[in-house]
Amino acid sequence: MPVTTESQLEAIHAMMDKGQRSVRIEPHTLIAWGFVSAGLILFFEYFLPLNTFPERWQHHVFETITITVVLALVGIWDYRRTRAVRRRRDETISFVQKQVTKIWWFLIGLVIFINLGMNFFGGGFIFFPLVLVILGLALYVQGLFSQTMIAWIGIILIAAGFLVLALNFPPKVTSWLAIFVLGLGFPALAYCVNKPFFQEAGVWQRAKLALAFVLLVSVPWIAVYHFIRVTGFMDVETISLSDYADLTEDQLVALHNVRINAGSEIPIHIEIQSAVLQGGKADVRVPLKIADHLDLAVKDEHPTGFFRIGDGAWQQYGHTFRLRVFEWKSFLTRNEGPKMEIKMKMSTHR
Amino acid sequence: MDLDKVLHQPVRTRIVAFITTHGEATFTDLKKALHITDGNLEAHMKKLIQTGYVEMSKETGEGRPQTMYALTKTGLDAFQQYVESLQVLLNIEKYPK
Repeated sequence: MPVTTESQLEAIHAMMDKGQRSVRIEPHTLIAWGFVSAGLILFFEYFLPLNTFPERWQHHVFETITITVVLALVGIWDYRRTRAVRRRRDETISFVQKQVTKIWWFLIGLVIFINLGMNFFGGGFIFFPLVLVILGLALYVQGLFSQTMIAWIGIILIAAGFLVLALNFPPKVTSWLAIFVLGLGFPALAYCVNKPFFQEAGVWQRAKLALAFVLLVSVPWIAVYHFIRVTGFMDVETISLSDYADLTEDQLVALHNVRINAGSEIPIHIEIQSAVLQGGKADVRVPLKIADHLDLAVKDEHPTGFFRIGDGAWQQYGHTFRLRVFEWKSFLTRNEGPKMEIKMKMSTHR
Repeated sequence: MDLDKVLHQPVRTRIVAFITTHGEATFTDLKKALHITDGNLEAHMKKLIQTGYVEMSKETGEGRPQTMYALTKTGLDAFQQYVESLQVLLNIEKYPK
């Protein structure tokens, strides 16, 4: 084949592109980061709740230190293992790969920092959707310098993060999506990254693989979501508040669904702690009247967390209940003096 | 216009182009990228090292030492000049006076 100017320039562009796209993510990297991160979410969401420590800040600090140390150890292990594997294969870690690894490390640090900030300043509702978006961003950058399919999965995760946020799923639900993305999605990706069907996938093949990934993480997520919604719930006969008040000590131990009628007043006791306030805190009692009847599942005189509004479906507090402070104003007028207005919204899903 | 004879050879052009963006590369990296035989690659690498465009170094560490190939400053300058020459030639070919 004759050597022409054009063919030489094309070959140069092709090889320079290949040199830039020489970033490869090792299967062990995806498996280690996936399993460990999923494990950390499970541990702190379900095995070490907030009330484990006497003060909330102690839990937040312990969580941050633990996550930082564990992920740093995983990072060091992954770094050394990748170098060993590449050396065994007589391959290098290219300049671009080193830079992409730094981006991964930066984004992981960002997630830890955001988690700490949200623990102290609020906004935890968006944490897991944000984790999905950041994971997606990391995979997208990885994919730009390696395989297009990885970039596609990155885009899927970014979209999923925004979608679950828009659909208003609570943290207990979105945490499970993050767990399945990391615990199932990442290992599945690890299996695929070095396979020809993944590396050489055309547009249609990529679409099928993308769909497979979505199904792999979303089907178990939906199953878990429904499972935890109904676990511990038993549909027993609903009794009125006055009938509940007439129950004996022995009868109170059992599970009851108690109906609080529409128009009933529920006193809400709010305690505000602040160094600004005399005595360090203030107690406020706010009587709220409910618009529709409220059924509460109660066992041994404690609500189980299940409730129903009107004739709607049974819901679980912690899964569908949300309280937001969305406006805070302060005034100082001649007629009324100092005044503060706080607007809060209490919402349930359905 | 005289083109660099060392670089104006398809395999050697591709080797140098790959190392330019990849950075240091091993023999295996180059073989996988170029899809050529060991003997063919070895011959071209020898030529590039002889010319002073590529330098070879050994990296020791865990396991057996790795041989790394990187572009020298001379090699990078020569490659840039070669690419510019090709672009000028292409313009002349496409738009002759």
